[in-house]
Amino acid sequence: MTAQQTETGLRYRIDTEFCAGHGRCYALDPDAFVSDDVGYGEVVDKVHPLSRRDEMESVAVACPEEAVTVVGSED
Amino acid sequence: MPTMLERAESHGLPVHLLDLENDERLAADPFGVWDEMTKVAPLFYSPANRGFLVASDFDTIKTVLRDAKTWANLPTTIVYTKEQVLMNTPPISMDPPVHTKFRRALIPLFAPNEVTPLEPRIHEITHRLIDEMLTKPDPDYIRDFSSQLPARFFLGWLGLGDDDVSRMYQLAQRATFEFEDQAKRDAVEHEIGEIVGNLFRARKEHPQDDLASKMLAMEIDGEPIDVDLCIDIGRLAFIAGQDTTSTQLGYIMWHLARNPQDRAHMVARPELTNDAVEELTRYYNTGGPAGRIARQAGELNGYPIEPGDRVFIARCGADRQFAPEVQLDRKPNRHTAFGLGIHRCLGSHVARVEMEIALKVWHERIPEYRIADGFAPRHRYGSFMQQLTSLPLALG
Repeated sequence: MTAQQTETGLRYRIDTEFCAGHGRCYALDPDAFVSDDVGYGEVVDKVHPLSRRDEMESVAVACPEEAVTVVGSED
Repeated sequence: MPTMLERAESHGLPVHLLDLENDERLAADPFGVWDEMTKVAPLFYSPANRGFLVASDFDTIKTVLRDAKTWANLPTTIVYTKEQVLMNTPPISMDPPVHTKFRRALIPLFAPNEVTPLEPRIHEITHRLIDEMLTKPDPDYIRDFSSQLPARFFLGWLGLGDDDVSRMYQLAQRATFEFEDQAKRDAVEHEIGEIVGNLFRARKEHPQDDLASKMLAMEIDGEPIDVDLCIDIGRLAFIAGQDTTSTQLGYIMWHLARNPQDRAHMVARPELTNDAVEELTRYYNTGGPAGRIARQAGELNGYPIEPGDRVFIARCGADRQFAPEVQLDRKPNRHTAFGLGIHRCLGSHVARVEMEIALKVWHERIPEYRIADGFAPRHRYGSFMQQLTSLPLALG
């Protein structure tokens, strides 16, 4: 069975090496990200339905640093 | 040793003239010039003045701005000018690891949770400027609004009040557009340094609830920040806090006043103002200081880089290359208007809030407007950014 087939939901990830605090993620998807005390994005711990994939990918693309990715979840 | 030009030619790097100081097309159609640059190549060499590489697409720009080891901000110079002009504008003119410490101390002062309490003040200034503009026989958005709002708001926040706004705005303008030679540049910085220095020394004695006092309270390595260095940072804030947002707002309204459908969208869908700001900032990217100097040998897109090589980051063209037309509700929307990497615009959160409030309130109060008859746009150039010099409007 491939990973693809076991995915039941989606999660965001932020690569903190590249995040520069633009704040696009929490502006565009405020239920999925929060700002930390100084304006860097943090992922809210939740699994999103597979049907949100396109919407989530759009948020990821809007990150100028390409620090946001969407990954499959088996939760 | 071969020159940059000889090396470019011997490696087959395209050579194309980008002359920011002298190309008069920049006065009539700067965005056309940027679009032309993206068509040359992602990386090319411009023989203008002392010569420099031009990074003109997103991937090349990202590569340079993420690689602070190879591409330094020190010495901080304007890469495209005829004469070398050095700048002292910390924290832009810093590299890691020193930059990292100052950046860490400064970032909280410009964070979203610091900006939110300032929103009522931005609303108040916006309404007052619109009130005044409605009484004028010849309203001009740039003269009466966009050159006023960021200056009045930011100078107030910094602690300077708004008594002498015109002079301070003119100084910020000169600091953004005049790099003729080192002596003239230093004179402008000196004048700004006196204003900012007086403020910071007063606040050091008697702190108040303003940005200058908060900057002075910063600690670096557990020690209070040096006052003179803090004044240097304050000088940059003085310039960047006034000029960039005002220029960007001017272009946004130039677009909306020429495009009735987009103007109608702003009126009908105020909740989407944020998306519109992103799209118009992408399409009319006014950029920011945009050069780097190679501190070590390396390569860029396969081209061998030597220490001392200059590169200009053509962000405006690169952002327009993502999509050649404006679509206010564009999704996804990626752009580099606030920079990339460790030098990302510190004031990006406050700039976005200013623009959003300015546009929301404007469209609530003045839903009908257009460009005044007979207007021929002129753009100030010679800097890393362009600026619309006037925008006469017919209101209502």
